Amino acid sequence: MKKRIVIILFAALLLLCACQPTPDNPIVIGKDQTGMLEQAKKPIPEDRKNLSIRDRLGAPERLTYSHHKGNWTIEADAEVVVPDAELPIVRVFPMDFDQQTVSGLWTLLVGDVPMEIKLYERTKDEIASHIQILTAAIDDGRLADYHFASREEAEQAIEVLKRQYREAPDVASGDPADGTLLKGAYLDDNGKEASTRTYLDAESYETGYRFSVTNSGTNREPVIKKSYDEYGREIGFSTLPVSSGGSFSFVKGSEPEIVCYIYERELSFSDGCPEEGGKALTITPKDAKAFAEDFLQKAGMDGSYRAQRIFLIRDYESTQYSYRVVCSHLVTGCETLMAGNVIDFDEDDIYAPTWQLETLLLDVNCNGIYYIRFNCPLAIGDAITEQSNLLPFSEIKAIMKKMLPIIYRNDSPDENSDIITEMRINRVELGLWRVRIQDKIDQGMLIPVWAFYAYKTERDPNGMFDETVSYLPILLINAVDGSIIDPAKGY
Amino acid sequence: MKLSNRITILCSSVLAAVILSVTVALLLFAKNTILSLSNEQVQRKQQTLRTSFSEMANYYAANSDSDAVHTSLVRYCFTRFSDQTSVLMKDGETVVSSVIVDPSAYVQKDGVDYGEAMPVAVTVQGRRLLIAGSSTSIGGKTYDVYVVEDISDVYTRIRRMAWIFAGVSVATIALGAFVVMALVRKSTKPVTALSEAAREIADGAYEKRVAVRTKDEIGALGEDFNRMADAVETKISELEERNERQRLFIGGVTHEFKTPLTGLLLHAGLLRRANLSDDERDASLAHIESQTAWLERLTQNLLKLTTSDDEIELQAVHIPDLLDEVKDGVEPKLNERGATLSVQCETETLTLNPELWRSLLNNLIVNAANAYDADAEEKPITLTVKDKTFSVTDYGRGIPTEAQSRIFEPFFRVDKSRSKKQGGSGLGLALVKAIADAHGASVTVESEEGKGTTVSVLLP
Repeated sequence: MKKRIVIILFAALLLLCACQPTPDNPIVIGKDQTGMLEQAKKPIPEDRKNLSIRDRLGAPERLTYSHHKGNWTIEADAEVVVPDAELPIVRVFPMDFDQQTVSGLWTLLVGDVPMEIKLYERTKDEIASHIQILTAAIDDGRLADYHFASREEAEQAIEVLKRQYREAPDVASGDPADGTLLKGAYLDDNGKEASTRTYLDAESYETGYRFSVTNSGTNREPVIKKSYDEYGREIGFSTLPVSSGGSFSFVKGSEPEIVCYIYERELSFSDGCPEEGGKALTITPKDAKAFAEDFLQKAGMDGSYRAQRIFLIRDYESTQYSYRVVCSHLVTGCETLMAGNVIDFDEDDIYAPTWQLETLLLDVNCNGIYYIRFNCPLAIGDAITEQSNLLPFSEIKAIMKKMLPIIYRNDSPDENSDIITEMRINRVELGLWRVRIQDKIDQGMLIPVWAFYAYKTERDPNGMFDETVSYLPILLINAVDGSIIDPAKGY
Repeated sequence: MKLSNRITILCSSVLAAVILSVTVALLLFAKNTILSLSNEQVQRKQQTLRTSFSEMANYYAANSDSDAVHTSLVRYCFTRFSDQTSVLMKDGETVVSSVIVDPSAYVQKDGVDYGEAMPVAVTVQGRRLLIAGSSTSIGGKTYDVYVVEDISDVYTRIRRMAWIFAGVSVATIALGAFVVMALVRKSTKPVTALSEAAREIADGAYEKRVAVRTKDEIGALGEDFNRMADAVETKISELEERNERQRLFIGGVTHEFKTPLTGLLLHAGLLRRANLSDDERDASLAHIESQTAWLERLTQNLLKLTTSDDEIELQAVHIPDLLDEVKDGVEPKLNERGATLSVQCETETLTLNPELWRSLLNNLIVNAANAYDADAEEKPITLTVKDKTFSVTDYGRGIPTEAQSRIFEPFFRVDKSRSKKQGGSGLGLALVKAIADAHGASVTVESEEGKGTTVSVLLP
């Protein structure tokens, strides 16, 4: 009998042991880029090494192309921009704005203008006063005045407020700002510190200056916690996503301030003053570029960044026009193709980790730069290859002709539609684009890509039309292996 | 080991075996069901991916496409329908993949199931994977489409479920064992009581009984035990009585033999050693003869007495003939006492042992004759037979009340001196009682001092 019991217990134990604990290393690591890197590292034939990039790839000065299907047209008559320098593949990492950089920008942009700290969350004093009010309400039996059903509920709310007190910044709105970054903590529902970040929001009511720095939080997992009103009553949930890279913005008062803007069109630095708004802009794109370069030089960024593109933008509600200078990041003489605007990726999944593309925008009007936005600056790491082996332009063109209609097949109107849709490629450029390594948000690569930029125009029979400027490439082709890159996903 | 413990262990073992078997079976069933569902899902996912991807890619593929265009198209189409578990390979080389596993190393392309994308379960770096793959042709080129699904969480859930089942099983077994132990102890408590009672009875407490409370087998056992104890107590009492009677009987026999033997030895010694006159010699010889005859009678009566317990042979006897024989037998004694016998018989035939019954009647009449008072008004001794009752009545001196309960004891005499003088051994009525008992008959005595005695024997 004892033997049988032992055998049965042993068998049960084996069964339990068969279900081993799950190890931590995941199987899914993100897109496999090994093949592409091996392709890029292949040596360039000796007889072609001394040729310029353009000649080696067979890239023309201009690209012409046309595709029609019903009321849908894709056309290209675009300059093909090819860098002179070899295109590397380099590792990149997201950067936050450290105190030294922030202080430099503060000195350059704010100077002696008195600025005050602006807080968007409650200060310790405000929270403390709410705690006092609630405590008095409990003692006086006036909980109904604050819509609390019971003493226990009110006491729980006080505990929430105490937690918020610990989380609240030590400074108060209105305290003088001097460019020193503040440290903020994000506590979870158990009061445990889930994330910390450094930030600074400062403004001057007299001048309208606004200086804002927000760095990435330390949490590597989304933090979901309950949100409460000013008296600690639960009103919903809030999420602190995982993000990489800091963001910086500076507004030099409302002169006039363009709050909501749209892209009119892309300009060239050699263009004259635009006609829009009755030539409201009295400076040329070249002048705007000069303002931008002056700023970059004063900020010590001229070695790494340069003015790459310029757009005409206007306020949505008024007729105020400005220039938007889009800067690029230079890596060994090659330009990183920056997005012309800050792009929110993965909007459908608020919990997905985000690493926005590096963006440096300078909005310029007749008085100079009035708005700067610098998002997710990149730190350049080691080079995986200094000189990438690229596909010839003929292959890239063939891929473009093949894939553009396929990619935008859903945008083409049906045969019965009266709307005429045109996509006009106005610029083709070979440069570097940031992709993520294995879906990580703290490691990426700059890889050579062919970027195709276009206007999209929709025209209805009544003559109304809508034209959209693409500050984002409509097509990104990996210059190494010809694969299509989704700008949103980064691969 | 105690029976209660053995039963508890046995029942608990059976309970544990049943629960563990059911638990293991349930777990295996759940595991197989979950894994089967996972297999189906992965297979469906792979087939859907392969179909959707190949349909789109083949729709747009053209023979004129260069390798770079073809590859770009294939990658784009695959990425449209794939997720992070999808892998596209061509000629053993990865085209699109987000996993660190090379699925082609685990899926046999030559296998019968490859076309149907039957998932293969593998363990890679401690993680449980289901890999399904099959081929498709895009523009004349063969691609292998795989889905690599990590189902480690499934096993984690199964493991968690197993622990829960194990915990519940252990708790159930423990609780069951406790309940079994309590029930067994409660059930075997009467048995323990029976055992203690048996021990006490064995130690001599024959009056010990057990309290019977239940109406089951244990209760029946208790009742039977009590009945057995009653029988044992009764038998012990009977044996003790018989033992006492035998002791008394032997004592009486010894005592009765002692007196005549003493006389015999004396007179025998005289005859051998002394110079006796002829008259003295005749007197001694006469004494020896009478004592020897008395011993013979005593011996015969003792023999009858001892054998009367044996099985006796019964037969139909003509009662009037029997009574005539009795009359002839007792006539010398009656004449000696000057008594007369009157016989009244209303019964023709009865079933009895004639020899023993003649002895019985003989003893009753001799006793009556011995009690006959010659000085009293002449009244005959009567022997009456009516139905099955034999009655002998005398009008003698009667039996004192305090002696009536003992007159059937061997060697008991109401008046020892007179009885001995008359040659009585004290065994007559004991013999009557023994013969009556052997026939299953009952003996009753009605007597009044100075007025006489009636002894009645009723056959069954």
